[in-house]
Amino acid sequence: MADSQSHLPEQEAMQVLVRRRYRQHLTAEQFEAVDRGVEAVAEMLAKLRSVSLANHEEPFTSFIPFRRED
Amino acid sequence: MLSNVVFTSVRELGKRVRSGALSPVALTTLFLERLETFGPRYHAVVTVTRDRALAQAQRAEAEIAAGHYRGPLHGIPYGAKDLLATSGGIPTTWGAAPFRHQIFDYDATVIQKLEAAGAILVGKLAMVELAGGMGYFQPHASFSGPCRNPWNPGTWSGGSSSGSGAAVSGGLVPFAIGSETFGSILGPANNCGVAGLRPTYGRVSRFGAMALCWTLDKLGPLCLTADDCGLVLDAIAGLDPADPTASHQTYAYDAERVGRRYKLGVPTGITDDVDEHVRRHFEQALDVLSEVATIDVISLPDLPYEAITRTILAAEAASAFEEFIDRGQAAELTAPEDRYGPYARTPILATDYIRALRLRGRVAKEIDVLFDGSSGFDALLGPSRHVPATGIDENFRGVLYGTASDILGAIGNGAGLPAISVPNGFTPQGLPTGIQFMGRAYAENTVLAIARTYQNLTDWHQRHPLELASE
Repeated sequence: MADSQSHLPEQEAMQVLVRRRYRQHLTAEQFEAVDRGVEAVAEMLAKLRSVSLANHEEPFTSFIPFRRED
Repeated sequence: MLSNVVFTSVRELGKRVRSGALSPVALTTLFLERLETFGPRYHAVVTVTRDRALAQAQRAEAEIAAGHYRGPLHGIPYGAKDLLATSGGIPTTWGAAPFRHQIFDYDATVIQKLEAAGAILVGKLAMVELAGGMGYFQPHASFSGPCRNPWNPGTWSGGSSSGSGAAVSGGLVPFAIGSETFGSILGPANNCGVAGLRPTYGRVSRFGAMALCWTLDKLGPLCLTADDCGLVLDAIAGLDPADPTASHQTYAYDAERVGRRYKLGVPTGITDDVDEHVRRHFEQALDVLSEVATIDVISLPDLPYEAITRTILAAEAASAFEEFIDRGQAAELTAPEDRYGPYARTPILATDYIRALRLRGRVAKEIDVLFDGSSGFDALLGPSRHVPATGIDENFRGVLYGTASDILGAIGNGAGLPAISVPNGFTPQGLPTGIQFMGRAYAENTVLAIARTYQNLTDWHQRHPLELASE
């Protein structure tokens, strides 16, 4: 696994996004805690992006076409 | 008639019920009284389902007397984590104040299957609010109060299946149903000194269970023994048209002895950064297991396991509760950190979530290789948690994600693999520690057999909280 970068370039934008979307729900003190939470999420995502994936590596999640029983 | 009933295994209770030596009504009445007496003391119970329980018990008693015996759970009381829908006006609170009056008009599939097996629902058990999905980091994160550990009420039962662990440990129910997204069955099993089985993803229908993360949520039993976990899984596993992710693979519990040595793998560094008692107990367990198993130290593929599983968890939980979060209802939750915790997950990009799902595939394939073929491992093992139960007023993990490393938990939950935690010794303070065995997908019978073998070689599971054993 390659060394992970410590921060995402868009970390600040993520923090701004949360502030714009939820400004009415949180206090200034809570937003400071959210900023720290976003920083932790960004570090987590940076670890994911440090791993190279091949084109054929598909998402491991199930999808079953639906057809109602007649 | 009711002597030596509390802290008796489901298998043994079932034998006595079948023979007529034990009345389901008397048994149910006893456990209802214990739930009503001790449940509030430990904050372990949300709702005692007395009326439904007595009706079910009377029906079971009549059926068994008439020769219609349904199986080993017939006439046996149990408790269900309060995220499983129950009909009949019984609230299903999800452990959260905003949902404390929530009522469903149907039973979750697991509740239906247990009813069909003749088991008796005696209570809805306490849990961390919204199954811990909002990012809590301390025990006071439930509207019903912090769930106390029967081994020491000054410590926490673990979460999020808090009441399920505490109620079995305290002899308030013979078995309970919990759920695990990431650690919520094995954690309480570790803290409370009971057996907890996390089945393969899809083995048990999730219909009627609160959705936290659609691709991570699993339902499973907490019991006094590994053998009991097998009996309960046998009753609740199976295909369900109401849950498209329920597996087509059939399951039947096999309680027979395995007549060969096991092959077990211990990941390198699995006891780094764990409590000294946990490490010592784990090393002693390896000595015991060496009588029946070949044990190899192995290196796991180098992948960011925790980041993969936690990204899936964070993104799916943010979606599952998006409208709740958008309405600002997180402000009504009990834990201060749950009132702002979910907001930090909302800006995760779709490409990052899908990247995590793609990496999950690589994890699943690379870990499966370890179990594959005649030279493959029967199970990987490690401590169930890195520490025993922490204090009731203490943070049990760091404030930020990923500060408590749990590699087996990240792999097992991310790849949907079965694992069982069983008791593995006690600290000088009298707190249980646990050992976990994690197996190949759909190999519950293998991990159950290993855990049964370990319990045959030890007596940790035969010890119970003195205060509750004597009352």
